[in-house]
Amino acid sequence: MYFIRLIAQKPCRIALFVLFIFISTPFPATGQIAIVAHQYSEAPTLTQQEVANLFLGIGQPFPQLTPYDHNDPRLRKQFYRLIAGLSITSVRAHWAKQVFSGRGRPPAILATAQVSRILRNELGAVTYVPLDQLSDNFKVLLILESGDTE
Amino acid sequence: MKRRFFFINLILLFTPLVVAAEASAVEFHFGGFGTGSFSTFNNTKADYVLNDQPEGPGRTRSSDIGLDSSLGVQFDLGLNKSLDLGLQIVADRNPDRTVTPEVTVAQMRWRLSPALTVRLGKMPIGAFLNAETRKVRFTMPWVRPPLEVYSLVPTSSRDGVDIIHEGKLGCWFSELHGGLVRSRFDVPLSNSREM
Repeated sequence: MYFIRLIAQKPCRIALFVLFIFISTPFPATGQIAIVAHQYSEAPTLTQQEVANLFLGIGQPFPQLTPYDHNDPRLRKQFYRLIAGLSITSVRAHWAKQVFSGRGRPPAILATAQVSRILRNELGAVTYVPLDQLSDNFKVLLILESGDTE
Repeated sequence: MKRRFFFINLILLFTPLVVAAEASAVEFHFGGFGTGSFSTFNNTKADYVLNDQPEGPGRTRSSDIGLDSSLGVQFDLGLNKSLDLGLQIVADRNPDRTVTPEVTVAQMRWRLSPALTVRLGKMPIGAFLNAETRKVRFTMPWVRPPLEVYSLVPTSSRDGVDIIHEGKLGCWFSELHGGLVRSRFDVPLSNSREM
């Protein structure tokens, strides 16, 4: 009862409101992300929605392209938030639905060191890298601005 | 039992044909999911139950760990890009008060084209939006699916053949199902122990 009386007081209500606004404001992303493919890839320039569908396995828009995910948790988190507004937990739940209903499997996860090798060797490979680490040998399909979905 | 044997025969018949046509690496995947629960209900006249459960917290016992607890495993065998086999076994509270694991999925999926898929065997029911993965609780927006809708089809699998067409209309995705399936489920007559 004491707790209910306490939060009913005006200063406490204002403090809770400020706390709510602080928690619900998205954390600003840092840096841009480039969606890249093999340098001779025939993949067209993609839209944000097409990249989201490709990486989430929705509708299979490009059967000739194979998406690869990253094992860097910060980069993954930023990518899925920018591309589809999803948290990593939501992405995991999405793939659990796909896998346990037999509809598909999530993209293979690459270590940062493997990214260049896969992109050089596989014509259909598509992945994402921070823009400041982009090499000239890759074809850029889309650049995600850090404020795209805010 | 006779019916299930018929499906196994069909799977064996299809497999060599497709593998011979498109030889590529065979993939094997193993996964699992589970939910642990503890529920209490301070009512001595009725049980709080989910779908086909004969008992739960309340009249039978005040506290219960069987209302939502479940454990499932899944084996997937991808023979090539267009053909895969899946087996899912789930243990949760059954209508006969046991927790004996049951096969919920034993299907062959054959992707004829990006838009067309044929499923054969024991497959999940897609009657409602979250029905295919209703046993995988953490994928749902609720603790348990609303019974007003989901108890209309209180089972999670059906046997038969199902053809799925996936299409796109602008920014909308459509999925059409057609086929011949049969669904069987047990329902407890009452939650009385004297039944």
